[in-house]
Order: sequence, then structure tokens, then C-alpha cells
Amino acid sequence: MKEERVEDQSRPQWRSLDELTGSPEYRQYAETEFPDFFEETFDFPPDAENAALSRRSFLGVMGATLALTGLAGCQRPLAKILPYSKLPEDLLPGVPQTYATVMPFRGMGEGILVTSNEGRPTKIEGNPDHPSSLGATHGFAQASILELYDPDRSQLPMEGGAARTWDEFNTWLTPKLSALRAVGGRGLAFLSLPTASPVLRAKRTEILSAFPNARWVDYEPVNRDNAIEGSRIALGRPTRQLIAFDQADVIVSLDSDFLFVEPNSVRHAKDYAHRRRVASERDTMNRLYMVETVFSITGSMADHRLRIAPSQVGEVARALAFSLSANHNTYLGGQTWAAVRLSDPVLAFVERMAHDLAEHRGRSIVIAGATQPPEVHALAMALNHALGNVGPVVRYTGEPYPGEQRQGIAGLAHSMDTGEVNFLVVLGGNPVYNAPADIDFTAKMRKVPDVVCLGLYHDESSEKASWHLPETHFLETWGDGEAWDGTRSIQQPLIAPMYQGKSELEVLSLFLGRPADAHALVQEQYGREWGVFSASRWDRALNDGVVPAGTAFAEVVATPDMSGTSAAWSRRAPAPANGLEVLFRPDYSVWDGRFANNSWMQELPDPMTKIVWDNAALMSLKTAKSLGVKDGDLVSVSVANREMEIAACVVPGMADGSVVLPLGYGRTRAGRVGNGVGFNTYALRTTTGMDIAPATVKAGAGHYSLVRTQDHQALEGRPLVREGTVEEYRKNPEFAREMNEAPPPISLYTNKEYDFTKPPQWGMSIDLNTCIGCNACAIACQSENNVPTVGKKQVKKNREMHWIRIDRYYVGDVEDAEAVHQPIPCMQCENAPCENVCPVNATNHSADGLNQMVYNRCIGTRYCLNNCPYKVRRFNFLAWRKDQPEVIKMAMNPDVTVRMRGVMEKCTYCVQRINRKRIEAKNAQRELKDGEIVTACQQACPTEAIVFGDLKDAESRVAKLKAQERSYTLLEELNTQPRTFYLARLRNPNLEMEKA
Amino acid sequence: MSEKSAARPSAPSPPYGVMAEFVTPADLMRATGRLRARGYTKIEAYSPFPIHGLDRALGHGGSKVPWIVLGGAVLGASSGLALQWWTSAVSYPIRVGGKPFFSVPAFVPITFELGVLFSAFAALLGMLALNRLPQPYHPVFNHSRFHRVTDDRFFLAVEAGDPMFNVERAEHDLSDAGGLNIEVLQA
Amino acid sequence: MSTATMPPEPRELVPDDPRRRLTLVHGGHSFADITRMVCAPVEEPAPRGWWIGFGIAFACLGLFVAMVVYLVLVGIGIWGLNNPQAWGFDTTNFVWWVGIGHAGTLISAILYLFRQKWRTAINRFAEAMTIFAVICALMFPTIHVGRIWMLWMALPIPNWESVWPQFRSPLLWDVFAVGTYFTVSLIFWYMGLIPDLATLRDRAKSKIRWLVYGILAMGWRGSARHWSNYEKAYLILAGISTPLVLSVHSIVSFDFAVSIIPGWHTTIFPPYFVAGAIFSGFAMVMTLAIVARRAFRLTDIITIDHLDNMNKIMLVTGMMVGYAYLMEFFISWYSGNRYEMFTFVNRAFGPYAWAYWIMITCNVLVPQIFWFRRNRRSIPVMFVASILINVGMWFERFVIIMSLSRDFLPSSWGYYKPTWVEICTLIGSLGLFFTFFFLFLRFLPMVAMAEIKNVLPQADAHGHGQGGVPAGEPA
Repeated sequence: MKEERVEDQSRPQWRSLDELTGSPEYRQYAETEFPDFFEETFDFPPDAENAALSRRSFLGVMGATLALTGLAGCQRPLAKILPYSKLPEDLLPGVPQTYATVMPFRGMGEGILVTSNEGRPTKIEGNPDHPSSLGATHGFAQASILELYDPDRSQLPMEGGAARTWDEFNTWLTPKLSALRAVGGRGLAFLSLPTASPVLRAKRTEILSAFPNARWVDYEPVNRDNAIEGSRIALGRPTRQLIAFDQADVIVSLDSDFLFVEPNSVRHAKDYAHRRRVASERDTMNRLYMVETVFSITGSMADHRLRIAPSQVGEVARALAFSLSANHNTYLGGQTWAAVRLSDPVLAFVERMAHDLAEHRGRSIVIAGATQPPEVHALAMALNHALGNVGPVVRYTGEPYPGEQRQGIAGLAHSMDTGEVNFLVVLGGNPVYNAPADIDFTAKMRKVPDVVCLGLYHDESSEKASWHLPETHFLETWGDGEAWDGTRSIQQPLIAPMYQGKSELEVLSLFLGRPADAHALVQEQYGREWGVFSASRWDRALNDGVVPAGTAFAEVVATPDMSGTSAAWSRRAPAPANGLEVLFRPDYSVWDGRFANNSWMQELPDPMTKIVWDNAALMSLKTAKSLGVKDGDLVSVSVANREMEIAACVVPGMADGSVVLPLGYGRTRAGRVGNGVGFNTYALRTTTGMDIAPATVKAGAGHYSLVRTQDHQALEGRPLVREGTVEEYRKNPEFAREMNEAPPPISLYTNKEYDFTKPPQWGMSIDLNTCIGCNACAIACQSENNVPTVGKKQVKKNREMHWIRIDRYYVGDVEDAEAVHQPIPCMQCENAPCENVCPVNATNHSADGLNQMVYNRCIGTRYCLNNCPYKVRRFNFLAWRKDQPEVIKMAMNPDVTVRMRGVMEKCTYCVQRINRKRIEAKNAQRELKDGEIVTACQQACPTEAIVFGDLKDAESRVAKLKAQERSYTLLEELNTQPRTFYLARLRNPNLEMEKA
Repeated sequence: MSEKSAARPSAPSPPYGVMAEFVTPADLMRATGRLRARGYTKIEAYSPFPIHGLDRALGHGGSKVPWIVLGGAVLGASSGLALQWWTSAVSYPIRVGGKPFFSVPAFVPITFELGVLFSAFAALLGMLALNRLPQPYHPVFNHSRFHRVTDDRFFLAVEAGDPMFNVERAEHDLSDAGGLNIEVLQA
Repeated sequence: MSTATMPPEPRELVPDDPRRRLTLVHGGHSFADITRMVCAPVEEPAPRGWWIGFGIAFACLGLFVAMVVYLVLVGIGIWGLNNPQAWGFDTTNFVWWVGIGHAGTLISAILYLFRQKWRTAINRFAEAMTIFAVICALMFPTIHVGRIWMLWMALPIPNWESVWPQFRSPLLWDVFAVGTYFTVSLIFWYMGLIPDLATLRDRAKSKIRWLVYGILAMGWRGSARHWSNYEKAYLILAGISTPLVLSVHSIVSFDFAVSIIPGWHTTIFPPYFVAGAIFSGFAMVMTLAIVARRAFRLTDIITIDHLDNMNKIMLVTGMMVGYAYLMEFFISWYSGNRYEMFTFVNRAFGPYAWAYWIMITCNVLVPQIFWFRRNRRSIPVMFVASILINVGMWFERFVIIMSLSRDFLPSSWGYYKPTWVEICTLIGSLGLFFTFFFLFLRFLPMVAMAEIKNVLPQADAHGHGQGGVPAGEPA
């Protein structure tokens, strides 16, 4: 099997495609080739939603809470937001303001810029000055704008489900606190999310000094314990790695999804893409070796991919170490690494990997994934050291977290059990939902007399707590945050708290008996740090979104302790003999479950499986067959005699004998969007198997409807995504264009009164070589263009509304499939087929070459949709926004019409942005500069795969890209003259491997 | 029916003509021939269905309907093309599908259809106009048995406008020609 | 008369064969008999069967109205349409009904020009059928936009936006083509009715009937001058209707042929659609004629010979569409265009293969039974066949439209399933059609009396015992 794969590798995908399409077996297991014609015929009413998963029905019942949220939603908190990063007199109605702030996520601060219209934050973008963003974002940041306006957010303090006021809470709290102070806080415990906010950390130390006997535990279900422990083993102290992917020629990833799941992923993607961008055949590219179980988006970018069970990844690392030390005279501290027993193809793969690494000393990087045990991380660090990569490619800094979250939560649970804890404060987390199953946090919580739960939602944990306190959204309050490299940013609010929320900072100050508001607290802290508070420095920090003067962590020089590392390896638990393994990983859409109530994220297709509104047990075709299940069949998975039913999802290119369980679904109190969506895989996640666990899986009873936005996975041999290897590209730079199947036909019409030559003529380039399929563009577009969500049932009917979608095709044979991503916005064809067939001139062309929709002219014949060869048009089959609550309307972009039922819509190249800039330029009586207009998708893209601009300006980036040999347009033979064009994808395989 | 009852009382007004009934189209033809031979010029025949050669026997000229229809066709087609040209290329030119504002090939179907539509109206209205229809009252309805003209009987009328018209002679000649139920038609 | 004993050998049924003329009407009826027979259904109280049929049809019409109201209130989402399949039952039904609507004018016009005098028996209700079918057809483009109050934008009316319709769109061509077709068919039909309306006027027993039919007849007197203008106008209408019939379904086929979707973008569509339209139109006429002639005892006027002739036409047109089906495959293969090739293979073996094979069976195989005279003259056989053919023709349009399910980008492939609303709407449209049709049978002469009389032997004015010159022959 591996041999096949090794042969496959140089194979240009358009040739190897039919293997996949020609596989009836795959169809049989993974595709509904012949659906049941009458399946939904007799639904009544036919537009009914699947109540459990319904967004629209949820909106339907909004009426009840509208009064409350509506009022809150209508307030104009402008006056309260101080200070402005621009002066108030700048504020012109209709002219949006932009503020820099920072989003706390994954234990670090992601620097963002927030656009605000008359006091309503409406759009989030990356902050170009922020080292973890450099202007781009991931989808989570984009989507948190919807979270802010989520009508399901908790709005008042609650005591056992009954509405209370903060005063009532204080009166309840004060006696308890004085009692606790008397005993130095014995029995008081805090459980919070790890924070990247120095201010908050300072506040925590204050708390601990006020309550010396209190205990503080950080816990987040998706954490970096393994990496930190690994650094302890290798370097003797918690250490953080700063990897400069733009410096690496060879990247070996040991199950590390560094382009998405690892913290700082946006920066990683930017740097990685920097080495994939190719302008001419002289340019070089980095090479990515991926060793992984699931098919991750990082895996989809790999030049060589080894799919292997999670427990075997470590063995591969060990074999790599052996090979490097034995065959490639790499000094690993004199430690001998026993040869590992692995199948020959795997060993061959390792051998060549080692060879490549050895050839790129100081220009390569070995990185281990968060789900791999500490010793793998330690070994990776050791290898980097031995290969001389430390310094040029990877640098170490201190690690602000102790990173013992797993022991932490377990210990806390134990002392709750033994009654040592009688006052528990949960700050932001949701332990009842996501703590390891075996510690049964719910039961332990019952033993604690007083539990106070601070949270954005009245969630599973708050439900069990004696008190629930509403938390402010990060866009509502003051704070700060550290980037991955430690650079600090001030978190400034964009809107006054919409409800009665308080931030963690404010709540802690309550516990200190010195209530204060976050603004004062943050300024006070910085005053303390700067010695004296400087208003100018403060304003600059707010304005730039970065606190001036190198706040980054100091670099740490450390040499790995090889013996300690190998000792850790000798302690390594032997891999389970045979039998299935499960691997837990955060979900691409809802992460660890915190975005479960965010309909944008729920309806965002998983980048690889394309599933929406669900998670599923991912497994390879072989595994599925051995279990006798097909895609969508329920399987029962049991880990350490805990059992759950979950739908199976067949994923080409996944490791056999492994089942991957995405976290974050099956919530019961997420809110009306997220409740009951998908399967709660935390039920199987135990302290001993937080990442990888042996499991038994058997076919369950029944079938489950998994809904995908893409039902057909193969290219059918069509030259839509064009791919070659670097070698082929060097031999023949024109290879992509030569794949056009027919010369464009000649037009009947010669007497055109107009042509598209007068600048500007807008065009868009999409580089398939750097697109990692991360979906950031899709969410950015949704947010920018007021794109509605429609719910699972409607997506099942292919009625999703995304203006830009990312097509993902599997390539090669089913077992060892590779994957390609292809973002599809409107092609803005010059000879647009949609325009010809519209009977009412509702879609037509602008002078600068935009295919424009006139919504109030559209009567909804849908003929244009039929005649669009790219199927980018989206029709409002129902009044998607009929029952929309006021508060969600606040998230709307006022520059973009909200479309009504029966109207066609589609990508406009963000015409509102084009016109805003054009008007600015005109008022300033200057020419538009290239790159001044940035579409939402382009702006969000972490890899700068999307470039927009004027094709007639020879100097513009987009024109230069168009001139590249790799550029081609989709379905050129139709003579639609698309303005959106693609740059063919290149892979950079190891020629040694080819020869073998 | 009511015409008949209304017409019965003999009014002083001059008659419209004299009308006789025939049983077969052949009788009608023969009679028509006879009367024409006697020099009658203003006679008219009535039948349940068109009879070939009858109008020639009566000395009628051909129909003018075709000319009216031709006019309709020309008017329709030209106004169709004009409409499309003016709206798409003059009144509000819009760039559509990279095609010229005046995309002749695409405008052919509607031009044709409008040509057909107008000709159809011309044919109907032309026919009615030339037949002076609608015409709720006509003296011939005064014949007591004329209601069978739409069933199975054939009629021949000598009209008063005929230069050699005279009630008695007309009655005599019609009966001579084999006409039955000869009646004088009140105008 | 001994006309009953004619030897109606098919090959002898030549238009101008004297014996052929004799066989046009059986039973040697007089002019008066014809009048009586044809007027009877209009003048006598309706048989119970009529009330039952009308009741059912009217109930279905109610269903149609309910479905349309639901659609207008909620939106297109209550149908199964999606992206990529933005058209489904709606357009299928539209094309199907327009197709049915083609036999009427064709029988009237083309057969008239070809001197096919046997048409006189069936042309009247074939034309009626045309008009009702076109009404049904027009319903679907109207409702398929959901927000029907927006439709006026598709008409060349000056408006506050001063934006005009887009005359390059085949949909707009449809508006004009089908609109014209409806109007012209109505004119043609009404013109044919005038002499018969006069008959009803003159036979009227009640004041109201006399008044209503009198007004409709506009004072027709059947004078020689009337007849000569009338016949000329009728001939011309027939002359312009013939290209009209061809153009209308060609233009309907442009909805697909002018697009760029594989399986739609085909030059063969216009002739293929016209043949199909005639095919289904005749089938529908057949179904109706069989019932009507029994129910109203017109077997002597609508004779077995007429049905036999129509069966032959169905056999021919059936083979034309069969040829078109084969040709599509050949051309897609010959084009060397991978998308075309895929589409047609997918038609026969893809998700909608079942629909494709229903189409082939009903449209290509079923008509083959008409090679045999026994079948051509067996009422039950032709009745079942005619219904199957209409089912097959519905599926032909469905199969074509389902090409949308798998076009260029595999990522966007989908599968369309109708909802019960669409199914009820289709049933409802049948209700609309038959409601009209039952009313027609009751209140208007379903056979053109004047024309029938004209082809009786005794209609000859020149002594020898043969029928007169066909109506409309230039005098």
C-alpha cells in the first residue's frame, strides 16, 4: 500500500484522478451516488427545519427574548467608549471607525482591528502591526463578532436559575469572603482558562496573596501540556518555541497541524506560504513532510504525507532519530536510539526524510503536534538542536504557563471530592462539559457548597453552579494580551457591555473587595509597569494595537538534555498491540465547543470533510470496511469502558486502524443554535487518554444524516484544479495553460460598442499553491457581506449561501488520497452567461468589469444560477432573515443590502469596499493605489493566496500574477472571460523518493 | 327570433328585398345562375357553409383581407424590432453578457413573434370589418325561416338596391328558380 | 347511403381519393343531423358523467390555487429546488403543457393547409385543448418566481426605474412567443367558432342563450360575402399559425439550447422539441377524443379512421424523438467534449437513469405498437398508449432539466427531489386544464359543424355526388 503511494507521488493529479473516481468501492462507502428520490417529498411543511439543529426555528422562537435583547441591542454606547483611537470629531455618520484590540484565544492574544459603525462593531480584521497576525486572521476571530451579538448570551447574574442583580450577589458574597479571609482562603479554589493577559495574571497573584491558602487551577480542554512538558524534559524548564517557517527549507511535522490548530497558526501560515510562493521557474520552494493520522489541512499541503496511527507517530520520530544518528552522522548527545520495528515503506519514508533533513542542517525544522506525548516534543527539540536549526529557524523563549492543566483539573476534582474545596469559582471555562470524563466533574461539583460560575453563556457548568455571573465579551471590556512571542496589546472595548456582564478582571477585584472597572484596573497595572502612567504611550498602544517598546519575551538559550530525553523514551508506554486507536482533536469549526452557538461556524464546512452542523468519527475506507459501516452509519466507540454512539465519516487518506473524534459538539446548554448539534466526544476523553487512547469500535444501529456542502469528492479527470511538480514546472512553465482543452470559440458579436480596456478593470488572483483551505475567507465574506446562514436541513438541500466556497477535491487513490483546495468566488466573467439569460436586466456589467446584481430588480427566475458554469450564485429560497432578532441585526454591515426572499445574490468583489476607496481617492483628487482596495476574503487570507486589483495597471500585483505562466482561468473553453484566475498548484516532492 | 316578431306588422317603409329558401346547395347554385341570367346584379346568397364558386356566380370580387394582413405583419415586425433597438440601445443601454447593445441575432425571435401577432389581429379585425361585423340587426333575419341558414337551409335574396328590383317580379323569378317560402324582407 | 361499407385500407386513405371523402362521416347523416348531434351536448342537460368529471377537475383546481397561495406566501423554498438545480417541476410542467398545446393549432393549421379534411372532426377541441394547455403552461413561469407581484418587470412597460426588460433572454422570448401563441390560437379558435355560434344563436330556446350566443356570433349571417372574407382570413391565419407553431416550441427549446450547460446547449433542440410537442399534443387529443366521442355519441363524426390517422402521426413523431435521443448521444460523443459526454452517459446511467428509461420506454417503444393496424384501430390500446406517451413526454423534459444536477464543477453537483407541494401543483394544473375542458364541452360545439357539413357528399353544389371543395381552398 505504501509502495503505491510512493509511486503516486510525482504523479500530476489530473492523471491519477480516475483512480479515485473509478473506485466504485469508495462511492459505495462514501458517496450517495443514487439518493432516494422521494426521501424528503412528504416532509410537512417542506420548508420545516430539523428542530434540534435549526437556526431558523431558533430565530423563530426569538420573539420571547426579543424585548430584552432588543432593548439592549438598541443602545448607542458611543459616549462610553473612551478613549478613541481617532478623535471623536472625526466621527462622521456612515464613515466606519477602526480600533485595534486583542482577542484572547488559545492562551494567547490575537491582534485584531475592529470596524465600528456608529458604535456597532461589525467586522474584525487582523492587525498588520501585530506579530501573531500581520494583518490576517483565522475564522474564529472573524466569527466572534457574531458571538458578541448572540441573543443567547447570558444577561444577568443568576442564583440557581433565578435572575438576580450584582448587588444581591455582593450581599451573598461578602459574608462568605470575610469567612474565607479568616482562614486565608482555605477551601477557596479558582478554575480558569489560561490567560495571556499580564494584567489578569497580576490580578491572580494579588488574589493568591490575599488568599494564601486558596488554589488556582488553569484548565482548557485543548491545551499545550504535552509541548510544555516536552520542553521540561528536553530543556529542563517550560520553554516556548518560536518557529520561523519562512526560514525552513525542509519541514517535518509529527502530527502537528501547525497551519491551523497550533497557537500562532496565522503567523505560521503566513511564513509557510512565503516559501511556497513562486514567481518564476527559478524560485525555490520549501518541502513539507507530514506524518499524521487524520487528514488535516496541513497534511493537504504536504509534499510527502505518511498516514499512520497516532501512537506510531512517536515511533516514526524515534526511527528518524535513529536514522539521523546512525546514517547521517548527527550527534544526539551520544544517546543510541534503538532501531524501531516499522513496516519497510514507513522506514523508507523515514530514511529519506532523515536524508533530506541532514542535507538541510540549519535550514529545517522538526515539529511535534500538541496531541503527541511529551517525549516526542522533547525528541523534536533535540533533533532541531542536533540539526543546528535552533537559532536560524527556531528560537526559545520563556513559557508563561506552568502548563500542568491536566494534573491541575484532576487534582482539583480530587480535593473537591475529599471536601477540601468548599468555594469554587469557575472563571470562563466550562468544566462540566469538557473536563475529562473519568473525573466526573459534575458529581464533584455537587460536593462543593458554593460554586460561582462566570461565563459568556449560562452553560452546562453555570447550570450546575449555585451562582452564574454573566461575563463580558472581549469586545465589551478592557484588558490586555500577549502575542505568541510575548508582544503586548491593550484590549479595548468597542461597545459598552450590552448586558450586565463583568470581565474576569472586574470579578476578581470583587473578590479582593475592591470593586473597580476594567479600564481603571488596566491603566493602573500599566502605570505600575511603566513606573509612571504615560497617557501618550497609552494612546499609542491603543492606536497601534501593540504596546510600544519591545514587550516580547526574552530569548532563552538552552541546550537539550539528551539523556533526560532518552530516559523519557525508555519510560514511554509501549504502543497498543493491535486494535483501534482514537485521537481527539479540536474541531475546525467550533474548536473545543466554545463556538457551538455561533451559526457562522456551525455552517462553515469542515475544510476536509465538508461536513456542516456536525462532527463525526473520522476513519479510513479500510477501517470503515473492517467495521462493516458506511459513511453516515452510527458506530459505537468505547474507550476504557465508556461508550458512545457517533456517526462514521469515511475520509480518504486517513490512517487505517484509527478513529479521529473532533471535540466541541453535543452541547446541551450552548444556546438555541448549538444545543444537540453533533456528538459529545468528551464523553470518551479521560485523564489517561486526553489525546490518544486505545478503543473498541463496532457498528451501531441506524444511519445518521451527515450533511456536506460538497457531495462529490473527485475531479472526474477535469482540469479544474491544475497541479504539477516543481520539476515539471521548471521543464515546462506553461504546463497549466497547456491543459486548456479547447481553443476559446469566436464570438458572433463583433460590433461591441464597449470593451473592458479603460482602467481600472478589476481582477482577482487565487494562488492554489498557497491556499491552505482554512476557511478564513469564507467567514470574512459572510461577515462583510451579511451572508445569512440557513441551517442543517437547508444545507442538506444545497441551499447554503456562502459567496465564496472552498472546493476540496481528493486526488490519487482512495487510500492514499492527496487533497487540493480551490476557493471559488464569482468569476466576474466579461462574457457573463448569467447576464444573457436574465429577462429583467437584474444582473449586468459595470464599466470596470464587475458582474453586478441589482437586488431590487431581481424577480427570481433563477435562470442565471442555472446558466452559471461555476455555480457561484446563491438564491434566497426562503426569507432566511424573517425572524431575525434585533440584536443580530447589529452585526450587519450597513454598506451591504440585506437580501430578501426570492432574490439572487453572489460575490460582488466587495463592491462597497471598492467604491469607498474610489470615493476617498476622488475626494483627495488622486489615483487609486494598487493594494488600496482589499476585498474581505483577501484581507483575511493568512497566506495571501488571494490578490485583488486592477488588471490594466501593468504594475499592479494582480496584473503581474496574471502574466505568470502558472495562471489559468476556469473552463476557458466556454469563452466566459473570467476576471478571477488561478495560479496552478505545485508540489515539491523529494526526487530521491521518486526514484525509489 | 324577436326580429321576426318585431318585423311582422307591415310597415310603410320600403322593403330591403325579397328572399327565398332552397334545400340543397345545388338548387341555390342553379337559382343564382338563373337570376343572374335575368340581369339581376344585387343578389346575395346565404348558406350554412361556404359553397365553392358561389361568390363567382354572384359576381363578387375577391377578398381584401390579405392586404390588411400584410400591413399588420409589416407593422408588427418593425415595431418589434424598433422596441428592442430603442430600449436596449437608445433609452437605457446596459452592458449585458459582453454583447453589443443592439444584438440583432438575439432580437430576431421577438421581432418575428410580434409580426405574427399583429397579422393575426389584422386577419380577424380585417375579416370583421369587411363583413361589417359585429352587426346586431340585419333585415335578412326577418325571414321567418332564416334561422335555418345556420343549420341546413340555403337562401337567396334579391335586394331592393337592384336597378331592376320590383317585389312582384322578384317573387316570381325566385319561385321560378325553385325557391320556397318566398318572403318580402322589411328594411 | 352506403358509405358505411367503405374499404378503409390505410394506404388508400389518400386525401383526394373519392371513397376517402365518403368515409369522413359515417352513417350518412344529413346537415340537420350534424347540427343536432353536435349541438346536443350543449343543449341537453349534462350527463351525470359530466358532473362527476367536472367535480373532480374543479377540486384539483382548488388544490392548485391552494398550492399557489402557499408558494406566494412562503417562497420557492417550499419546492425541492436548490443550487445547482434551480429549475425542476416548474419548468418541466411549463414545457410539457406548451408541448401539449401544440397539437391544436397544428391540426388546425398545418393539416388545413395540407387539405387533410379529416381534421374537421377534431380540430375544434384540439384548438380548445391548445388554449387550455397554454393557459396551464403560462401558470408555471408566472408562479415559479415566487414573488409573482414582481412579474410586471418582465414586460416592456415604462416604469419608475426606467429599466427595460432584457431582450436577449430566452425567458423574455418565451413571454412573447407563448403570449403570441396563446393570442393567435384564441383568435383562430374564435374565428372558427363564429358560424357555429350563429347556429347556437339561431337554435337558442332561452332568451339568455340567444343573447349570449348572439353577441358572440356578432350577427353572422353566412352570406356569400361573409364566407369569402371569412375563408380568406381563416386561410391566412392557418398560414401564419404554421410557422408560429414551429417558432414557439423552438423558442421554448432556446431556454435550454441558448444556455451553456452541457445537455442543454444543443442545436438539435428546436426540431426535437417541435416533434416532441406534436407527439405529446396528438397523444393528448387522442386521450380526450376517445372519451368525448363516446360520452357524447359522436362516433360517426370522430370516426375510427380519424383516430387511426392520428396514431400514424404519433408513430412518426415518436420515431422522430427517438432519433433525436440517439442523435444527442452521437453528437456528444462526436463533439469530443468531456462535459457533454459525461452528461449523456450520466443521463442513461446516473442518478436519474430511472427517469431516462421511463422516457425511452414511453416515447420510443410504446408508439411502435402502431405499426400494426389492429392496434391503431383498438380504442383501449390507443387510449393507454396515448396516456403513456404523455407520461413519457413529461419525463423527457424532466430528464433534460435534470442535466443541471451534474454540470461542470463536480463540487457543485447536487440532486433534486420534489416536495409534495410540487406534485400537488402538477396535479392541480391538470385540474385547471380539465375544468376548462369540461366547461368547453358543455357550452360550445366541440366539432366544427360548418366544416363538417362542408365535407358531406351532399354539400357539393355541382351535381355529382361528392363533397365540395375543402373549406378554404382559394376560390
